[in-house]
Amino acid sequence: MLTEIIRSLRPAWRVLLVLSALTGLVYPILVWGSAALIFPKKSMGQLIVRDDTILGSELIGQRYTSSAYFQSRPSASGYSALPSAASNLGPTSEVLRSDINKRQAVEGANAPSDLLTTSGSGLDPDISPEAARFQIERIVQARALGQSQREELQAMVVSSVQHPLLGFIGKSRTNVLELNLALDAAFGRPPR
Amino acid sequence: MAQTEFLQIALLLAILMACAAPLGNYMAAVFEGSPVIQRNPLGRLERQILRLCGTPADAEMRWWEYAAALIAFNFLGFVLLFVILISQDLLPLNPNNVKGMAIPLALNTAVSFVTNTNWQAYSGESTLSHFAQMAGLGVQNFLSAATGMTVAVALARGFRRDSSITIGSFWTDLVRMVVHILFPLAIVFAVVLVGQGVLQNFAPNLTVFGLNQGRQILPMGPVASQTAISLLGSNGGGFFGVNSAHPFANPTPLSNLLELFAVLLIPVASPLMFGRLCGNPKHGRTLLYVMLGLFLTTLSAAIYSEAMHNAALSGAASLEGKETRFGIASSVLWALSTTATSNGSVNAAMSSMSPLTGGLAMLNMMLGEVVFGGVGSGLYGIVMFAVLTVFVAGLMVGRTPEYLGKKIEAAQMKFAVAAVVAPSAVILTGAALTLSTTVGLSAISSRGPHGLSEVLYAFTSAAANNGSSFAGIAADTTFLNLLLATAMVVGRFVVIIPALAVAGTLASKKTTPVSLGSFPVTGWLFGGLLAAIIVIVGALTFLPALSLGPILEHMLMLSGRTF
Repeated sequence: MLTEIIRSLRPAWRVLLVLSALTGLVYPILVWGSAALIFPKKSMGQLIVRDDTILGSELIGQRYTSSAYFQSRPSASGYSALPSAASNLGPTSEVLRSDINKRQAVEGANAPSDLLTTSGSGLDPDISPEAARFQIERIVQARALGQSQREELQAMVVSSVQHPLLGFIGKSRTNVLELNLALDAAFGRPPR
Repeated sequence: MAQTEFLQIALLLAILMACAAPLGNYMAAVFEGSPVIQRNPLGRLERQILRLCGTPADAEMRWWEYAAALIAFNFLGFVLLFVILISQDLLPLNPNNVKGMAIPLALNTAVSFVTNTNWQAYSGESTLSHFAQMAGLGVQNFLSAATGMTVAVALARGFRRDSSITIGSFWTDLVRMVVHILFPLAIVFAVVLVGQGVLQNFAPNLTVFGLNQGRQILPMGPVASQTAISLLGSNGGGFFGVNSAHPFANPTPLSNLLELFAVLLIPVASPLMFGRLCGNPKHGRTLLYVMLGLFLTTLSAAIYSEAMHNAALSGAASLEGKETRFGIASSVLWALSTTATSNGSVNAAMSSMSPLTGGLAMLNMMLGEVVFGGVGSGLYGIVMFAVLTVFVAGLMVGRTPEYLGKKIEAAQMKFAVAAVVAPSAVILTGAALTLSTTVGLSAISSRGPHGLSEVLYAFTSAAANNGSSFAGIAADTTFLNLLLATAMVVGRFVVIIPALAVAGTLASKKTTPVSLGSFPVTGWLFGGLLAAIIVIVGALTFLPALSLGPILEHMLMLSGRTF
């Protein structure tokens, strides 16, 4: 058997090199070329630019320090993308129980569960529509909005919801960065 | 659980079943060297590659020559990948200046990708260069999947051929799998993924400023090409540490559905390919139905379990580790599909799912990765169980067992039993070694039964060549890197070599015509018996271990205990 293996090494080496070139170089470059032609913005991560600065990616959740913005879900990596991370805490973890209790104490007893839990990537760009509605009051107060502006904000939150594709693929969700950009566009940027 | 979520599962399965037959037929035609396929452009590419490699397309091999070629090829693949990983700082396309990988981790990673396991003890976005991703790991994503398929094809020839001393050419089968099946599927799928928002570029990490002081460094790279083949080839090793939970690898609910489709596609088509190759398409369909039946059973149980109230965490925790855009049902569907198919990628944190979901994911792997299973490996795995089944049936009626016209005798039984039992032995031995040493115990991060699940899951995933991770465990220690690498190598080749031996010894036998006295290998009776044998072997071996891990944790969760 061993002599057979040694005899096979020479063809093995050639096949390995040829197939490596095909699958390791030709393939990714071909995909890159076609993608750059057909989907130039998407292949670069759907970046959002405002006033010549790259604010972030539409796909990647980020942290907002001011209470005048809609907040993303808690993140196990603190919204660092290098590397992405989940909490990996199990269903009987005491640490998870106390984390959830702490968040509940901050957010309020009836906060939607996505605002109490961390996501799988630590970079979830979305919150549930309930979580967006839940934050409206805080934003009204932080930005000192009047009654008509409050209604405008409520309408904005409703229209920000992305519904499941064909009604059943995926979950209803709201992209936090897009909603916050719309917020700034409608009511101006809050003082730093 | 909303009805809409069941609609999504039904849609996925319906599309898969519709695609299984055409793809199965196409794959069978590819491996038979059908003239229609040889005339198309990919046929020309195949011949050019074989000529360049100096390996004639019709160089027939005996089973041990086939196995030797496979081992030599995988060994060199390992060496090449290992060298790329430790020297990535000296190689091109390293815009983020990552360092060479440490030797134990590189060893583990190289073994992991060559054996189609794709266990990840590292986070790709912070430890790998673009070159190491695409020309190192990406290559083995193709080649380890193709290797698995060659074994399944050789096994089919073992049944089909009459008194033949050879079972085909490893090089030809390998090149055909890459050129005709994986390469075109991956290109199309990768471009579709970019259309959904998956990255594909060679840029360095990008600093973004954030809307409100949310400064971040975003990873960039050839993600779509890597993700496409890692899912199609039942590899599962993601570009990112969190695999397909990462929005840059799986940005939308539609991309999630497409990725699930890619995970299941080749494994679902393979039994039909096998049926055609060995001249009994109906047997292929029976194998597929057995797999589908087992899959739907574990899937329903997991969905039910995930919807249960968690008394320990007052019910608020069901979204822990899950992405908003996918929700609960899609996350469970992903977990069960990827553990069933030996894919091992995640779109949510496995460790945070309900105890029984984690346990069922483990059970999928413990059944020997035959519920669909990996590319090729699921098929040769279930055929080993089928050999066991016809033997048991033969014992019951007192006849020499026959399978697809071949008499199953002592030699085949020894090989089949080795292939069925050995992976289980590796899982239990590895887990026991870890749990009985201080260095092993120190890697566990959770307390209570969840900690046992972490260890059991790691060894199950490694030995079954799945790569799925119950990520709590601190896997990047020299002890675990080496022990898990060993489990992956043994778990892979201890099934491949007996499977090829069965192929070779069967090919040399005379085909006996099917008579009234032959036990049918199609239909409900055979399917039921096969499913029962798969479940009984798995359950008898692992029930004690599962009781102390997921099942115990489930009971404690219901009574509100935390650790």
